[in-house]
Amino acid sequence: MLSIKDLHASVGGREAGEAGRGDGAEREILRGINLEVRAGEVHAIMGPNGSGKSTLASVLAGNPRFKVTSGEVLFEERDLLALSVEERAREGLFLGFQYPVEIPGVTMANFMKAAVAERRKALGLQTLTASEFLAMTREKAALVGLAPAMISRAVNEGFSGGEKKKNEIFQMAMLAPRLAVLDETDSGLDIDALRVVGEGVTALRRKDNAIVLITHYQRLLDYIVPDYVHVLAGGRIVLSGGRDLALRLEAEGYDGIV
Amino acid sequence: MADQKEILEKRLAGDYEWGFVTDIDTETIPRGLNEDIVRLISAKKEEPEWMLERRLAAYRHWLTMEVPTWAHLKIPEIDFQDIIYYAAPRTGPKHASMDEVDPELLRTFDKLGIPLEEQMMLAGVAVDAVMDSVSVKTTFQAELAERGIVFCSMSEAVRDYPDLIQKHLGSVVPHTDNFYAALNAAVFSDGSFCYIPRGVRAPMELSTYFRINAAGTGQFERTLIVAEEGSYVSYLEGCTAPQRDENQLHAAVVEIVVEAEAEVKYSTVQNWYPGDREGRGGVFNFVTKRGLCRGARSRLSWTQVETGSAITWKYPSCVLMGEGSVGEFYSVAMTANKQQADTGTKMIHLGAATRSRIVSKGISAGESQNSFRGLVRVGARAAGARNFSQCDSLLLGDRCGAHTFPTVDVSVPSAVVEHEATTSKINEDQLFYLQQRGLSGEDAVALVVGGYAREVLERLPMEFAVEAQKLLALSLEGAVG
Amino acid sequence: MIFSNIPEVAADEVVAFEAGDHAAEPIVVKGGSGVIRSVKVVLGAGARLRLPVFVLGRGKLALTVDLAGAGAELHLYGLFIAAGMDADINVRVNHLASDTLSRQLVKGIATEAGEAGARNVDAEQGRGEFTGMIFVAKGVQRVDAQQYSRNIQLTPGARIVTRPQLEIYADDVKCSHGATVGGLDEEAIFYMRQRGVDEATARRMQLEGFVADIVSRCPTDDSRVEIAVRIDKLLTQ
Repeated sequence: MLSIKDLHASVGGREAGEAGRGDGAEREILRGINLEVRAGEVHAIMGPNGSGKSTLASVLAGNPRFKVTSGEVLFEERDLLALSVEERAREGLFLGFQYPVEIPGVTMANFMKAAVAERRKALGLQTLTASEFLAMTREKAALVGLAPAMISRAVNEGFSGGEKKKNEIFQMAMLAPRLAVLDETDSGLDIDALRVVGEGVTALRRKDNAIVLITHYQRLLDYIVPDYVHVLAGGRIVLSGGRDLALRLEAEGYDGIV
Repeated sequence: MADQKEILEKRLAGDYEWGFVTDIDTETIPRGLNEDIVRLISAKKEEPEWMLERRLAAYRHWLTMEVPTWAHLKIPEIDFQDIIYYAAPRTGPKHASMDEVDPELLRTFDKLGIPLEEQMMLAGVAVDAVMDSVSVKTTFQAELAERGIVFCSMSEAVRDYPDLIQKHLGSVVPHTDNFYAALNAAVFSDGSFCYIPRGVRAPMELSTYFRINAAGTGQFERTLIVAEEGSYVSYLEGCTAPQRDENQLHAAVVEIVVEAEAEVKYSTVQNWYPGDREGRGGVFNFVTKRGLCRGARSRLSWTQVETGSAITWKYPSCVLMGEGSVGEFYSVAMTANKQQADTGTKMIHLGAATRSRIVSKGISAGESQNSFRGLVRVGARAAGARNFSQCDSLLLGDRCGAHTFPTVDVSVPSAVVEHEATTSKINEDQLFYLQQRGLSGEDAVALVVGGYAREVLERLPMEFAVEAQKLLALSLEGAVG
Repeated sequence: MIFSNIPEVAADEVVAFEAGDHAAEPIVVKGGSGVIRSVKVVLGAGARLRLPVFVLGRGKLALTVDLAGAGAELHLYGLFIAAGMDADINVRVNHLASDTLSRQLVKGIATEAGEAGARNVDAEQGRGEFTGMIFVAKGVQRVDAQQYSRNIQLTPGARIVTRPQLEIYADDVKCSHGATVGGLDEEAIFYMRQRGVDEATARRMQLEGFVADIVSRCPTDDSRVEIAVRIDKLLTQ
């Protein structure tokens, strides 16, 4: 489903982003990533801080802050890098943000209505009626233990850290993506929230979708059992293995392996 | 709380005056201003023809201008023909030893923590009684010369570095800029010229050097600082020591040019005579200060502590032309009795990714009026510009005024500008807490005000931060009401 | 020594409120011919007023509010949209009595001319200005005043000028103001696009969110709808 070949990406420099920062030289973060993800699989990407994990997630989603300097990414046979941010999303790519942004004044209802409509259009499905939509939101909110009233609140505004992460999984449930890239979804969660999020994501696994979990710690993997574990360091995947690799990392730390 | 008000009232009774003998200059020129006077000034300073031409152009332009009245200030009408525009520099010392100096003055110096040698120099004691300062000065001169740093009076610079002066003088504040800048350009007496060559870091605060070398401060000072690529200098102007001056009107101009990757820190501590409690006398300090951050990633920061003058009118500003250049303004302005201040800054963002920061702390006491006036302008080419401003005012007593007049003017969507301002009186809970721990009412006020101003005082060169703190406390003694 | 060199505008319309809670219908400057509407509001003792104001088109609103009696309160919500024209809001709040309170939230948008605005264009890019003076007279105590000016600048060349001002002659006061100018939150735009919402819609939703809390202060459905429709027209490109 996802095929990444020798992906190089950097941040900074004049062209990076619309904000026109220009405050520093360009820095290469991804230095040749290679990865294959097939339908039905769960891959975990682990690694020390600064290794490029979040950058990989951002680059796949198309964040304009980063510049792809070389390499290729195919998503369902399509050239992902040629698509705009929203086109990638409509094709079925979902990014669970590490730091979900607050958007005052924009309600979850209006936001999700628009997003779900786009996704259904791309899938050739009919738009939902208002009551169908509401029923769907209640169902998906229950999946992650969020109160249904949340749908009338502004996006992430006043949400606790745990609620923000649950909100990411709620949206994943609403949009039913082909590929979900979850960037440190477990950071900042207490034991209970971790279980809820973990079980919620597992419940969304299908034979025809795939999940890439970016995580620093192995504890989330107790709930979402990966098929493959990769270690990202210095902008490259330096080691790959099965579930056991995660346990080894937990016991030995990254220093011993990287 | 009633007794606190009493304490505050008592403090207002403190007087500012002390005896101060001034010799009358032996050389006098007629009062008034006309082309002949301008020529006379230029001739006395033995200036080259090109400098005279500049003065005359400025004078002629000044004649076409009107006195500006837009500030939140009540300025008595100034008779520009009733001023002597040239004063010969003070030649010799006034006193043979410290015994002859007014003990009140010495007590003030002590309270401010000014070192003895400097006290002597400031009081005008004969130089041969101050061996240390002469040797210090010589050492500094050698160090500067070694690095190619030029630091001399403006008069000397006009003679010895004509190319540099011609290139830069008036490039940041042209004589057309405003009424007082035109006047200054026509009749400026003296000032400082500082040039730092490429890649050179000034080895000491030019403050220390400057104080030892302080010539008599003129009424129309003109200062120019040029920092070439990659250079650095920290410059301190002024003095915590109270200064009297026969000349009431001070209209100085300071220009600073900062090239790529260079940094200039300009600090001012100003304690000109503020007038008596009825508001009589006192210096009018109308200053134009501006820096041009011309090169990429150049940096300029202005730090000022203003406690003196009857009327303070100045906006040290930065023109942020170079990409990624940074401008900063930190200010504590205190007014008491009948003083007035209309001060602030202008940050003009022209280049992309430019940043500016403004921190202004106003303190009003007595029947004074203290205004902050600011401008942050982000032009259409200043993509990604950032500004943060914090302007606070503290009111001590209910007969004074504290005002804030900022303007934010933005023409580009990628800029982020944030401005905040708060005006309140001193926190009585804090005062009570300190008093409950044994501090006197006055000391409590001084402590709280010191804390309020700390963010600005921290920016000063170390030795002056301490002095400035004491100056604030001293000013509070005579002012809180 | 008291003086204020910011003159008051002589008002065409004067409205007074007595004690009690009042939720006023919005003052709307619809613009077109460069209308200047000047209004003076006088709040007597115990009068608490919620007032929404809008400048939606080429024009200017000059509003003066006198808090003339103890217990008077002003809650002002304003919005101006300069879409290829000049739109100004000028507010002067005079605290003339002790124990008074004022809260202001004025939002502004400056952008290029939309379809609807095309007929009344001063320039391709709009200029929106807010000047807000909080004045506290001498001897007036226990004043609590806050003012926030929040502005969004959408297109290069469109201009926002905001001047929050404080002129204070008494000391037992708590007065603060804040002003921000920026573009739309790019992070939020990216977030919405990642959920499949196209960029233009994401920007539009954010703008609507931005004005929502001002529009919602209109006391009746009718005024709320009318204003929402006008805003929609102005912002449609």
